[in-house]
Amino acid sequence: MVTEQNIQKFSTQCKNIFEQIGRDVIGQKEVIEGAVIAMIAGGNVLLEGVPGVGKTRLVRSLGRVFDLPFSRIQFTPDLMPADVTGTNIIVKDESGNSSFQFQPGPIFSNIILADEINRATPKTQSALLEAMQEHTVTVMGVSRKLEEPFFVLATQNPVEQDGTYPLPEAQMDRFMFKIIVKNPSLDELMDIVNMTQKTMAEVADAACNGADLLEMRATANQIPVAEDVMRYAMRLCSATHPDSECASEAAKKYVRLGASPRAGQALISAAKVKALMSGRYNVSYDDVNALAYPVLRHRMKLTFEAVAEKVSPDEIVSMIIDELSGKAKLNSDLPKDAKDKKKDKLGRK
Amino acid sequence: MNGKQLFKKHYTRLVLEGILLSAFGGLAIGFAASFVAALVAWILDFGGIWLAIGVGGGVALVSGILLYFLKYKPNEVEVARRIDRLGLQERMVTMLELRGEDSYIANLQRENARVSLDKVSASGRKIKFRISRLLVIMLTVAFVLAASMTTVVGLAEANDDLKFDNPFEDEDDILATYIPITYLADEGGEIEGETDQLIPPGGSTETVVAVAEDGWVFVGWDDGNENPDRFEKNVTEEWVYIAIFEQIAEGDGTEDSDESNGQASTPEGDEAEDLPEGGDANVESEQNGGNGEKGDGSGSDGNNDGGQGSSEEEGEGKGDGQGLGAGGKWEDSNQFLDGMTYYKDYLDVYYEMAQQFFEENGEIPPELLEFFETYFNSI
Repeated sequence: MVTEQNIQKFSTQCKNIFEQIGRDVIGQKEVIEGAVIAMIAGGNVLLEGVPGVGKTRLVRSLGRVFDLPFSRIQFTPDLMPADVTGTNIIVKDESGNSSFQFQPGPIFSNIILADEINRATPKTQSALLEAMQEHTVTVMGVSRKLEEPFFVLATQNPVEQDGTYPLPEAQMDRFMFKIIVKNPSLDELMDIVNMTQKTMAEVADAACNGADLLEMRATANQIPVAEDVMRYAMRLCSATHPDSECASEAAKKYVRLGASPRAGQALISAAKVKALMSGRYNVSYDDVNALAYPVLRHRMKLTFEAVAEKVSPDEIVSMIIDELSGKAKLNSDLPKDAKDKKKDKLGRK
Repeated sequence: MNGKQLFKKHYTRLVLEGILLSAFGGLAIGFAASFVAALVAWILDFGGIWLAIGVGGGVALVSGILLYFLKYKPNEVEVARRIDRLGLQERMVTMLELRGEDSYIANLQRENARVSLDKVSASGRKIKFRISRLLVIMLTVAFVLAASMTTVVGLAEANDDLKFDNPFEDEDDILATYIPITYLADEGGEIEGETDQLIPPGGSTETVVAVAEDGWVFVGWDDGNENPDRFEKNVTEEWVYIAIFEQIAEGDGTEDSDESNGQASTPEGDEAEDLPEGGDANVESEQNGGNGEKGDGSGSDGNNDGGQGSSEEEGEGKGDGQGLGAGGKWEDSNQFLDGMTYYKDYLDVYYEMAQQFFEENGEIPPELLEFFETYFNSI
């Protein structure tokens, strides 16, 4: 049961989290908000951006703020699954008898930074699948539970595609959000350079711990979602399927494969956190619309037509929202400030 | 004003919107019904304008009431949704769903929703009436159709020409309702105008004209009417009228003499009586009809010398007294100059003129002489 104390704690801790991360990462408010929402909601995050925009720094900072053990895995083509999960090694006891002993890999941590994840082979990438979804690791037939909270924060570079292995759909689907990290603005760039002239080290302090994070997740989970809103969120997900009963025109034209049911789960879980972070005790259409971009953009397989016409996934999500909103008479009735809020999407391209 | 009262205030506004929409919808359906009723009234020639207005009004009232209670009457959820669109971000809808719950989060949400509703109401924002464009278009179209059709029915009541002419009506039905009047032309002419007419009992036909062909002349209708133009009033029974024409005969003395031999024609005699001095001459000419060969072309002399044309010898020599007879018996066919112009009208006038000129100047103007010459040549 949620109590007044839970709500107040949630509010206070959120404020502290953003404050502390702001000490290490200049700007990128939408990216930070998205990453924090995903972590509170219990999802993994894929950060995509060109080199040098602060992806790794953000992940390291999150580890510090949440005061959680942090592992960094630099993905390279020669990285093997056992390098990620760990393996059984032969050890000899005092009497000289040999036996297998499990040596945990870097995945046995609370926050995993999978840096440049698309540089590893699909075999190694798939070593993360079980960990990301079930929070367990199976080696040599033995499954081991990972410590909660567990997050994978992966980064990838959208440009240098030579020698990379695009993540398969199954892997992509396990990321709650794909957040686009944009280049900083001029003012932000000046602040970044000024700050790093003094020290490159992260200075953020811990704002909460793992237990607090789990408590925040439980609190957010209690936020009610009206049936209308829930139905709208599910329609939004279904509308990405070109052959579903509520397929949107945009999906019929540009999408080959739509979002999975995980998208619906992610959308509602994240919307609850976003609503509570906004000081509201119910989920709104605006929450769903704003989160539709990071939730859906990596879950749609586009058609050749979309690629040829250079239609981005975000544009498709936009079209779907407009189409659904038109049907639901949302756009016409939304007040101007609500429409402006709707435009405030997380990491929209 | 607490949250409940504010909710009620918005509810009242939505009730008003519902009544407005129902009225629009009811009127649209009523106008459509009025159009259909007017159309039926026009086709069946039954009921007239008041039927259309009555049906339209009744249907509008009933459908308006039904629309309100079945479609447009707002319920709580609808009111909550509409209030949420004032910027409340689904607080009201969620609050309604949590109505039965007493958890901390439900109470917190309710309180949050109430405070937000107070803020919205304080800002003076109201739910905007939502009138569907489609409904307005339907209403307009239905109104135009109904008004047009009702006007047609109204005008048709006053003017038979606007009554519905059913192209699929059975011929027997038509004959049972209308009386056929037919105009036919005998040999030598034709009828100008509608020859087959269907006239309602007591109605009038359109005017037709009997026109003779070249070389023919209109004599009259078979019912004795001699006027080539005709129309019937107060038609009560089926009738066929036939125009009769006669061929204009050439001025052949032999033929005429054969036909008129020994027969004194009364019309000719009448004509002769009209002449100032030709009365006796005509009688003589008739008597001399059998000698037409010799009398041919001597009419003028005969007229002039009518007084002397009493002897058979003179008649033979000069054709005395045969000016009007023109070589024989009086016939319709030889009383015309060009098939249309009745010569006697002109001849009388010119004859008097010629006499006057002759008395005054001792000679007849060449134009008149030419006229007489042409006349006699033509017959």
